[in-house]
Amino acid sequence: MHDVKSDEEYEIFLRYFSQDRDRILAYIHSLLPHRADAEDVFQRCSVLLWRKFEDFDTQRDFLPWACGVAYYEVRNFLRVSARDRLQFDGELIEQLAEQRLQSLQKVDHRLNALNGCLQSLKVADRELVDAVYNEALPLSEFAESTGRALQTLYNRLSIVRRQLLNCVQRKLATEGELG
Amino acid sequence: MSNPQLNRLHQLVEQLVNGTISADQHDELQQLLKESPETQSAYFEMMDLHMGLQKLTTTDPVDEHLPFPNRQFSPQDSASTQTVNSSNCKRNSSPAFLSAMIALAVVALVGVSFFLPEAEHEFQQAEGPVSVSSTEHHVAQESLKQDDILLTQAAGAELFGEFLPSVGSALEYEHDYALVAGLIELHFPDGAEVILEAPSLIKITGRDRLLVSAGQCSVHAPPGAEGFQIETPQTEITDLGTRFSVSVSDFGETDVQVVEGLAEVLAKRNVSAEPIRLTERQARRFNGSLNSKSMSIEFDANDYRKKLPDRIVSYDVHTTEAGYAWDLKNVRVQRNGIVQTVDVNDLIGIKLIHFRGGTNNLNVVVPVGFEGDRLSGIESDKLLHTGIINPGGSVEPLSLDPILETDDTGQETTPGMAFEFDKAVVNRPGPDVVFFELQNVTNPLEGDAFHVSPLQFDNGLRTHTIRRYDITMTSREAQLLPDIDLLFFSESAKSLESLQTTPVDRRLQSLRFRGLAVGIDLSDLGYEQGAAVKGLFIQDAMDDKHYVDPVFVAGLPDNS
Repeated sequence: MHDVKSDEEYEIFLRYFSQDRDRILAYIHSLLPHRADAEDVFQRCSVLLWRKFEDFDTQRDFLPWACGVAYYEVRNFLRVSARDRLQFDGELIEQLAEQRLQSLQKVDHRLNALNGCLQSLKVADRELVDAVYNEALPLSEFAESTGRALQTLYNRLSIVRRQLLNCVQRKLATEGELG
Repeated sequence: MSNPQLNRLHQLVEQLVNGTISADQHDELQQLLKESPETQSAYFEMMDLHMGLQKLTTTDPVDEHLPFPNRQFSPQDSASTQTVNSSNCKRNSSPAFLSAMIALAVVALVGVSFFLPEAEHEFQQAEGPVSVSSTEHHVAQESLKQDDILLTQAAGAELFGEFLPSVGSALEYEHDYALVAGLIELHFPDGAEVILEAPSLIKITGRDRLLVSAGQCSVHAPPGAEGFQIETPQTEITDLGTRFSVSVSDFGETDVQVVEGLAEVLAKRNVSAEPIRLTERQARRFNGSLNSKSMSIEFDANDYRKKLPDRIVSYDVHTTEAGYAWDLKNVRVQRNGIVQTVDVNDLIGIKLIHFRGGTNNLNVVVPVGFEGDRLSGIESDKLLHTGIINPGGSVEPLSLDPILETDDTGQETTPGMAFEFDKAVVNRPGPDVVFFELQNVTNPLEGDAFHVSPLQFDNGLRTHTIRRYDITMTSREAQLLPDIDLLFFSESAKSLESLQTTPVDRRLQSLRFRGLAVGIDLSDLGYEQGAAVKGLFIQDAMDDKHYVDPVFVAGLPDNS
């Protein structure tokens, strides 16, 4: 039977979770760079966090706790996942996990800065980014539909990402968020 | 990390995210990442970019990271009717995950049935509020002590790792507060006032002493508050009756600028140095080096902040017995630096003259069981849980007059909603229009972004986009709303007529919503001071999957 406490607990959980949603995903994504892997683990981890929420001490920070749960879920995933994809080894995963926690607070700032940087992209570059990220098109299909060479698009995408990275760094430096 | 290393890291990460990396290159990447924390930091930045692009460019309304019932604002999959639209979902949904979702949906479903009697009970009381209270119930009720340092104002403020205490409550001594967004104002027992701007890290170390480890603050010590001290990693600044600003970099470098009066600055590490007295329009930088002295810098009066920005400060409501906000009593708004309370009956109401939804077919929110005029939620009532929601939108802000009626050419009307004020709203400094929306914790916490445009683009007028509300989900001032019914249309309403007459499917929404608010300054649309504005056009900014949800919109009276 569901009671008031459960409902309140659910709301509290959602509040915590929503605040750190992007950071938890960023944490997992750093350990599992392949998008589908990261999202799969993120989804499992989300449910797991809710199930384990009663173990969470609300006097402490939610994010380190959530990342701790996510870390073990990543390790589980790597243990049971198919071997057809290159994954980081355990030693590196451990190093990255430790280091990543310290930089997660910047995720929101970077996202905000990136949002601004995206607006300044040329139309053709924005279309390329949309095709890759929004439509999740294989770049080969986009190359075919636009009559451009695949390698040209890879090169362009790399340049655009670098431009965006530089733009984000500049914006954060201006806002004093860097470092 | 050297430039060649960084370039190589870029190349390898590109190949990693493109899915074109070879086994050898993968090994090389791993070795590079294991070498130093610097390469790992650079890698994290690249991955954040990659993830950010996924998030910011995705427009799929079903695809959402939060795998819980009612996870989207537009609850097509509300608890009682939750389905997973896997055909539209690009992402991986494993059977185990779906089972978990179903389990959670069941939990929420029970939650709905539990809340139903209470919701009906509330609606039976809709003829009049049961009890009267105000936002003061948010303020800590314990009696304040003589040495308390009070949080007196907050604007868009958020702390790291904790919620901001209520405005009016006391802050803790010897507690690290990390202000990561917005501004706050503190009041010290002897009268000193400090405005802090994010990002700042502070600790109250005494009844007249504040440690600022990083960030920017402005101090005003009126007569009686002389001796108030700001401590930074490099300095101790003693206020001798003055206004001054202090800016502390992440490395502890401290700039002190005196706007008026006198302040004494002691460089902490230089034990032999005498305190330096700074007078009006003097500014110095202290870098903490043992060997170098402080240096004079150019005075910049803009470093000192006298007030928090104009905004909606808070609002008062009548509440239900259960403590939820029933209807609006008044709005506290800061205009031109002055905070004033405006009674709801003095606000200028609106009449909806156009509506065209987007892809979302949930367009009306009403009290549980309500069967009356659907437009009343936005036009005539004072409730914050009723309105006309999910209007259509556009990524590009409007620059031409919105089309409100179809003509012979068959051109479609503009997605969004238009309204006229009952009486023209006169543009004055600060907010001129108050805008409320309802929101829950699974939606953007800063509020749903929207464009606001003039009905006619006369000379110099433009669209203004609001991306952060004055009262957000994390504000203590955002009050909890009663249960609501959501009216689902077979397809998104395309006109006022369809909004009013189309048969709908009614669903109770179990997640708890809050009332967010933001002030619209007509000057941001290019209106001259004193201009009389008859109406506005609202569009969702289409920056994410969540649409804006107006529940109360009104103009501020000219005399306020």
